[in-house]
Amino acid sequence: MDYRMSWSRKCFLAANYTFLTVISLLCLIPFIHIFAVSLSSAAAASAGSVKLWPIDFTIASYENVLSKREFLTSFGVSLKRVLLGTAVNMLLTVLVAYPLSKEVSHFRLRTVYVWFFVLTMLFSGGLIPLYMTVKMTGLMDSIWALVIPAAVPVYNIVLLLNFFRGLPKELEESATIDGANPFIIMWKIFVPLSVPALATLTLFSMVMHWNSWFDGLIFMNQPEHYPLQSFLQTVVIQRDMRFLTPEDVELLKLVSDRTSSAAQIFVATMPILLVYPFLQKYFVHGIVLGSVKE
Amino acid sequence: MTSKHLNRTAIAIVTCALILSACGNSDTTNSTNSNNGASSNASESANSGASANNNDGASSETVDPAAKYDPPIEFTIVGESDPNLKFDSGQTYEKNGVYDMYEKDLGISIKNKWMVDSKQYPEKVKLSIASDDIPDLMKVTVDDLQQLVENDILADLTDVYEKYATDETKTFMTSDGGKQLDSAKFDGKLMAIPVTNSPYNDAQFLYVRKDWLQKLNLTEPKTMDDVLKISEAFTKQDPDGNGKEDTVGFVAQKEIYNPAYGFAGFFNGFHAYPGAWVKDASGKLAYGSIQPEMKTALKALQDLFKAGQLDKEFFTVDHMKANELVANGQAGMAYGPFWLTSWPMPSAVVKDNKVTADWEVYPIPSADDSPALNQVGLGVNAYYVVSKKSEHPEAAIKLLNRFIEVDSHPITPETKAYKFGSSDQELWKLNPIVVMSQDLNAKTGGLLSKAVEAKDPSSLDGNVSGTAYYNDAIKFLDGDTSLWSSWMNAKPHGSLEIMNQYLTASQFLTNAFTGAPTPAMVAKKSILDQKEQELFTKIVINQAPVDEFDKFVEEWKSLGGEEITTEVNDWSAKRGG
Amino acid sequence: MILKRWAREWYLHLMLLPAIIIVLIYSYGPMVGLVIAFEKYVPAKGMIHSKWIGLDNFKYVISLPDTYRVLYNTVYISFMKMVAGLIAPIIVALLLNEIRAMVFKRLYQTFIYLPHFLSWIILGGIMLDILSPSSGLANQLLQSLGFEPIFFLGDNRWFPYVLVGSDVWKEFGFSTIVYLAALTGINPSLYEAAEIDGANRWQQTRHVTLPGMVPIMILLATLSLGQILNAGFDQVFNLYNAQVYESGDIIDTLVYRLGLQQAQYGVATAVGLFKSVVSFVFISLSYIFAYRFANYRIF
Repeated sequence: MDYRMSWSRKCFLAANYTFLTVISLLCLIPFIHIFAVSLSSAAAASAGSVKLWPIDFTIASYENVLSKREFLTSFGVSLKRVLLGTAVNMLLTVLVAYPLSKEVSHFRLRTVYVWFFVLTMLFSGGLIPLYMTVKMTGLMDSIWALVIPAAVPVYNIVLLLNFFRGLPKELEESATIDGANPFIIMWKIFVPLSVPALATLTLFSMVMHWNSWFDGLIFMNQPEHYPLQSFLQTVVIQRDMRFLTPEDVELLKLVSDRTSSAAQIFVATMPILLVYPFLQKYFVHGIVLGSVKE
Repeated sequence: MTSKHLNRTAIAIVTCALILSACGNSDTTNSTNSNNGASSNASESANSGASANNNDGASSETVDPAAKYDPPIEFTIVGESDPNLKFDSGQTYEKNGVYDMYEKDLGISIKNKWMVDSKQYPEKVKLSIASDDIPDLMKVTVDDLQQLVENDILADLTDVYEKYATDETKTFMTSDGGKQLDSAKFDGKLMAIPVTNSPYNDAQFLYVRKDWLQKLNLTEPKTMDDVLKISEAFTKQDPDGNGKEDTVGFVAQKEIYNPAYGFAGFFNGFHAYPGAWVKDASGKLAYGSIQPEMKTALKALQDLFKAGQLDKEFFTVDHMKANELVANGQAGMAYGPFWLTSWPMPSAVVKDNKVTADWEVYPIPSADDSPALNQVGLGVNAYYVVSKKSEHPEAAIKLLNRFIEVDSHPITPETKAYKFGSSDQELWKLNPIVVMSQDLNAKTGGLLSKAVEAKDPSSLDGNVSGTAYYNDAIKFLDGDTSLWSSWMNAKPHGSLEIMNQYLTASQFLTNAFTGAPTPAMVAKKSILDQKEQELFTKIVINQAPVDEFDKFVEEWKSLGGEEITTEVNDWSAKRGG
Repeated sequence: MILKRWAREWYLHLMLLPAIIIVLIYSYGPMVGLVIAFEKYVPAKGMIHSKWIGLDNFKYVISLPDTYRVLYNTVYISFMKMVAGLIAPIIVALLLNEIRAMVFKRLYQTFIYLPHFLSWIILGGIMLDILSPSSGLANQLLQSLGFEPIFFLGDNRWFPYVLVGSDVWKEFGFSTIVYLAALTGINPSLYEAAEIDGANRWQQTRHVTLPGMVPIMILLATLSLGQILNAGFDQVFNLYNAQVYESGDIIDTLVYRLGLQQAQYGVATAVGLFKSVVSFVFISLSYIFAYRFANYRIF
């Protein structure tokens, strides 16, 4: 390596650092802004004067949020959903990706199965048939309605099967000769070698579950069962004013103000922000694609 | 009587019911129970109800509307949750004081099939309908009602209403002359219970910063010309005196027809009635949005926008954002209904327990000599429907009776739990059926402001909401600024007094079409409405010339408007004019 | 022979079984509902007894003047998202790859990946705030630079670009990290060889780095081709308003409004089915192209 840098290289690096710093800031600003609003007084926030620094610093909105029963219960529902949903997702991802990573010569129906799964990414029966299916299978209003219909993440499977393909074939061949069955091979050889990929996909799955809102709205029958994002949709997105009765209006006076929704937004992003650093180190090695034919 | 545990209130109803059924049996007339304050009008309808009973034949058919189910029946409903409700400890949407009352008094055990936030309610209703999974009782829009009737999955309530609705209920439901109840009838059959409400509550008012008027030596707005002059002065003459041209005439949000911070009152001032069906010169019903008056009004709005008298970005902002103009003292006029001073204005006007700006309320001014008419609808936004599969359709009527009975009388210790929890005044929202008086505010308005002026509430005796307004207004005068909104409603020349003036001077224009949407409306109206709002907004914000209006009229007609107009006129002819 | 093969393969079938059952019930099961597209669906009558009307729903959709606008919007928006979503992360990945200080590299990665975690529910709220013409951060910046403020969310000229821009902003961090992963997978000896040949940094980038990224580029491009009619329901739904239907209404929002708000189930399903078929054609084509021309099998 040549450590003496040319002048043009220095220039490039300076520009590069500047550019990346600006980009990073662009990504950070919304968080900072929301955080600042959540720590400002209601008056300052509703006058729209809060930018990147709190005005009239107060933690009242956080006290408010943390004493709000709906927020806390839906936070709990989301946590539960993420744990269950991610566990089921990961189990099925591995179970599906492994057989599908085999060549047709080893697994004749492989391609048929692949398309069987990929088609579900493209075709769907629409909302109402899905609703009826969930109802008929008795999942309505239970946490499983958020877990089971979304249990097979095809996109993640495609990524993982590509990762599996990139692993050295010799390992499996020698194990097969030793008489190990595919379950053992998968569990003892493939899974340990795929920790980075699995960690990455785990995060994808968690983010997906944490951020989903539509299914919560459709499948849950009580506000206590809403996951967090569904609940937030009712807080953050404004109400339809056309059908308002004067009696509704009385209530709107009490509806949470901007600082409170900012605080809820911030608390809602915390869990993912906390998990992220632990999984981040795997990312770079997580999504390696093999199987490019030279 | 099967029930054993009657409290005092229940006894009162039972007594009243006994008298009513007695009058049904013996065909005597005018036996009015003074306890429930029913009018002679009521006994007439009770009488006709009773004779309908007799037509059915045997006198054993006579029912006791207040009879308690024993054992209790289960009755499924769906509902809108409210994040701000504060339940008493241990209570939930499934099990709460309100539901307990119905079980205790009527033997109806209410079960929620589902309960969602009001924002998702319409979608969830559609899902329930689409998957053929509706509860015993459900609140729906008029569109849904039409669809449900066509699909034949609703119970016909004609008979149960006749038999089970009490005298008081029938009076309550028809004090507007029966328009609202009729709107729930299909081929003469009552298929739903309208969520009655006062159409007059839609009346528009002009809110103006009086302190600015005085500062700039302007007269109060009597005509549209005054309004336009005020708007210009508020924009150009620096009413807040900060030396900057940072003020505008009107507060507005993005939907031009929205009742609050919209322009409905402005349009009505030009005798334009967007969205309403009005009689044209030939006596036929015509669509208000495509009449020439509308073009004139749009032109006037465009001029306001071009002159910088509207917020440059109003068409992107919601109510809360628009309210910032009020909070920051950057706008001096606004159109809105009487509840504008309840929402969203107070948070912008009342700060730190001080009323920071002197807003005054005026009747909407007219652009010419004839007074402006307030465009109002039927006053019904929703209907309660009962599933055909329900085993007890009459339970819905019993729930309705009970609510009206509780709501129309001062709260007693026995009925308190129907409306309030120990810490929350809003628990009444949990009632499975909630209906509103058809003319309460407009009637009360005539008495209220005088009572407040004289500080004498005696004229309001027995008027629950009138008394509440009165008390609030007096407390405001004593310095409780949190009651500013009630003050604006109740004060002399306040919004309710003006509403009463509108009523006595017949300054209302009721939408002439009160039926359910016609087939062409169902298929095409939403697209036409969307086009209308899109184009009209564009005209206002000067992104389209006013003459686009004429093109739109033609387009409207050819894209289904003609068909709709024909259907509406057919409907009107069938109604007898 | 066959027996031996079966003995080896049945484990594999077994592994797939749970997922297959779930997918059959919850993905293929509801697809039975696609028959609604050919019916005048009346909920009380159910799918079986509703009236069969053949292609009438499709004809109705074609007769709607808005259909073409919506189709155009969908393709236009999603195509721009695809292109921008492909180029931006490659550039950033290349730039990040030049950073040698691990602390900074890690820091930048962390920051640019953050927006990916926000749902559009939350972002919708934030963007309304930031893009507000008067008080929003974006326009304050523009004004301080001497430009006129822009009504990003209310102006048909800007709205599609706001969609594209915010989507790229949200997702480029994710893709960047995927590309970075591909970069670390490139054999270092290739760089050494290039250096010995006298190649400078730029030439190394062109001849070693970029070719090393081709497989992942193909994979991501292909997967996104299948999304050609997915212009982003979550995003548009939470950002649009009636003013920008002209430029922002997409197939998914149309289906939602038709199906849930206007109760035109048959029509909504017909539009959805159309979308699925087109997506299927696109993803098949891209699969074949990738295999033929890049000799790369995606799945």
